[in-house]
Amino acid sequence: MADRIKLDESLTRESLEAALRDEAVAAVEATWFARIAEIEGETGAARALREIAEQHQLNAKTTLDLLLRAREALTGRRAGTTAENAAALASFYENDAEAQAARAATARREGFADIGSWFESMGRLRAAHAGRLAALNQDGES
Amino acid sequence: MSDTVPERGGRYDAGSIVVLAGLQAVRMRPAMYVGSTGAEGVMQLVVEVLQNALDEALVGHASRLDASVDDEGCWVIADNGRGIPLGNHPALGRPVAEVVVTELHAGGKFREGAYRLAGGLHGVGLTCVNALSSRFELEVRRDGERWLGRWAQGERVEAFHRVSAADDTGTTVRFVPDAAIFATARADFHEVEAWLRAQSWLTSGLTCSLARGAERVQFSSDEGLAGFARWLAGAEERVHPEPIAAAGTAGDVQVDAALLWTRAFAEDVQCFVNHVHTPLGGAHTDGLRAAVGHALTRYAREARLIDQNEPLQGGDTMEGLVAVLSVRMRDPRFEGQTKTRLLDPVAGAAVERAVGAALSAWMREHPAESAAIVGRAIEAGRARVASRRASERARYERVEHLVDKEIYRQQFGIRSKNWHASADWITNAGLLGLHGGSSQLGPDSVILDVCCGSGVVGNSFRGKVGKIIGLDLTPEMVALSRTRLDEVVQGDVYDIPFADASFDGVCNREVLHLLPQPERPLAEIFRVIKPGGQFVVGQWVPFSAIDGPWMFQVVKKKQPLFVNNLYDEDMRALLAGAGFVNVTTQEFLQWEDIDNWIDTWETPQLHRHQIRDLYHQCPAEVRAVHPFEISATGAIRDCWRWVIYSAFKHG
Repeated sequence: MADRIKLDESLTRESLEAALRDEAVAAVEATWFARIAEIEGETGAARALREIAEQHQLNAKTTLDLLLRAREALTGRRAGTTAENAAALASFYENDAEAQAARAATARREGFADIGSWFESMGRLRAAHAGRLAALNQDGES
Repeated sequence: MSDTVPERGGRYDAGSIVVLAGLQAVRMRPAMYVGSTGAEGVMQLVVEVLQNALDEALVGHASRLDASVDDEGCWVIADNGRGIPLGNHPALGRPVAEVVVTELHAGGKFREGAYRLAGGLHGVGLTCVNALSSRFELEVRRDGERWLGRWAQGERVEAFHRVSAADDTGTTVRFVPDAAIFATARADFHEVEAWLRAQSWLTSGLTCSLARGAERVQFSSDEGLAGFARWLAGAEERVHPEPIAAAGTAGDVQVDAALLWTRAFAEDVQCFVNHVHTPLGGAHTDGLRAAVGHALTRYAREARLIDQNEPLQGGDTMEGLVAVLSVRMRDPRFEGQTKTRLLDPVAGAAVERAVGAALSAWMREHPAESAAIVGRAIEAGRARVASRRASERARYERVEHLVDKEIYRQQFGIRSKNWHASADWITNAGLLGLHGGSSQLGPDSVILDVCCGSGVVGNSFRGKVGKIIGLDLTPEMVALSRTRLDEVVQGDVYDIPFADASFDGVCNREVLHLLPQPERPLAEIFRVIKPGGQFVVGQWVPFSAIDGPWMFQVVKKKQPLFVNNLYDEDMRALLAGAGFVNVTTQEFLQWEDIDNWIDTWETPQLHRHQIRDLYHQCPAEVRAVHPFEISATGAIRDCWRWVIYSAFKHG
């Protein structure tokens, strides 16, 4: 029998990352489309889409839960405590603020001024959230 | 209710468990019971007492509902119903009236038959009001006697006791919302007025009154929902003269509705379940939409107004519709304690059936008016397509092909017809005053109002400068502004048709967010200003990074041409980048009527709903930095942060 592959080094982990994105996107899409169906008076479609969205939300949470095990192995730190979770999110926000700025520049260069402005607004929010979580962690340590 | 919050490092054992008595729990978590500790929460208290009085009218025992408020914020709400029963509760051995205002989940609404179709918070209403009031008094007139009890913050001050004889019957509640709980202890008088006015239309034979000092209003109507719909439509031009009535019963669900199409853009649909307003709609509202969409599509196909395979879109069929929907049913299920959204699908099916049948029958009997209603929906569809096109064309593909000017001309040409009525900010005197008031120009100077619209901004400099010239792209706006400004030229802000250094000053307001590459029009503005000249520009901006993305969504849904979400720092950077110096700012907070603001041609029906959803589902951290209000009747007012920038070109 072959050596057991570690989850953090596996293709399965990459699949989990992709699946989390897919489930989260599908949840948002189905919720959004359900609301449009409600406004358009398509009650049957609205109900079906909402119920599908609930499933996607649940699936996304479960996928994240499985993925956290791999991230624990990658970072060597236990995930799941509030301090750990907040630190992980803060780190994501800091990196993502830069990513948003790059996306904004691309959008503007390609002529999509409104989309560029949206990415810039998101980047500012990411920085604010990173600051808020950092303050939370400082409060927790003090 | 128990709370399990051990201190850090402390012991956590059986002694740590705190059991709060009923009313303590309400005071500790007031928002859980009445929705919020802001103005909406205070309004909920008032509505709870009113709803309790109304329940007597709904079962045919009261014909009057009188409310008043004094200068100290003390509300007095009285009905002429039967009065809460006197005598002791058989199980608790205490006066029933005292039990009703001090025990959660006590009341007559739990027993079959007493209040078949009651509203209220299911037996926690009066108790919550008592718990959250600094002063609470209950007076009952029944069986020839008048009884009274007093409480403060839910604690008994004076036991419920007989005071005197009485020659009438009814219940009176006096209370003062507790300032220690609520950020503001005052309910909005006009919201209470709107609530009472609605109930007088919904409840046949009920007279409602409201007083504040010498101000007194009274409502009584036998016109029913049709009268309500006529009142909501107000002076709007109507597509058909009289409301369409719909009524029906399915099982336990009784449906009544009145529908009236107007030439307005936004819909105004007021929905009630057992006389409780449901601002977020729910199953019954969805049923109404479905009924309207299907009935109009069916009629349009039969009359060959549209192709057989072409449906009218649901949002388009609702455009301009004023409707009142009243559903009465046993034990409705709501989302949340404050009953903002109905969950029962059975109500949706009943509404769809009743309204669909009545509307289809009416359409067959009124072909000319029905064709006009369908024409309205087809028009709305075209506007929706144009809005999408505008959004797409506002994005430019090459720098030299910056914007499709025709889209701007089309939109502002249409909006010029009711420009000043289309938003409060346009003619707000305080805001305009800060523009003109920023002037440091001499009495003989010449100023250019760029993208001048109706010319109100330029006109705010009247008396401070010698001559005011306007520039606008839209011929209709040029004509409009010529009534205010000394001279107006049709032209493009990206290529201002004036020589370098032509003006002592330039002014502009709320335009840069609609212009791709705003640095280019700013360079043009800088070019036409003389050395030492002044530029005054007003722009709304987000309060912080926190509300910025939320504002982006609100504004983008309203205005497809919106391309720049400009923050204060962006404005400063743009001005500095153009070469302006000595930048100073003044801030102005302005409350905008959002329902009016989104009632415009360029905002499709779907987007109006999504904008309202953005307010109703606004994240808490956004609400913490960006004030707005949603009234009990669903009206939205948003506080906009305006910054007026004054900047100079080097001398």
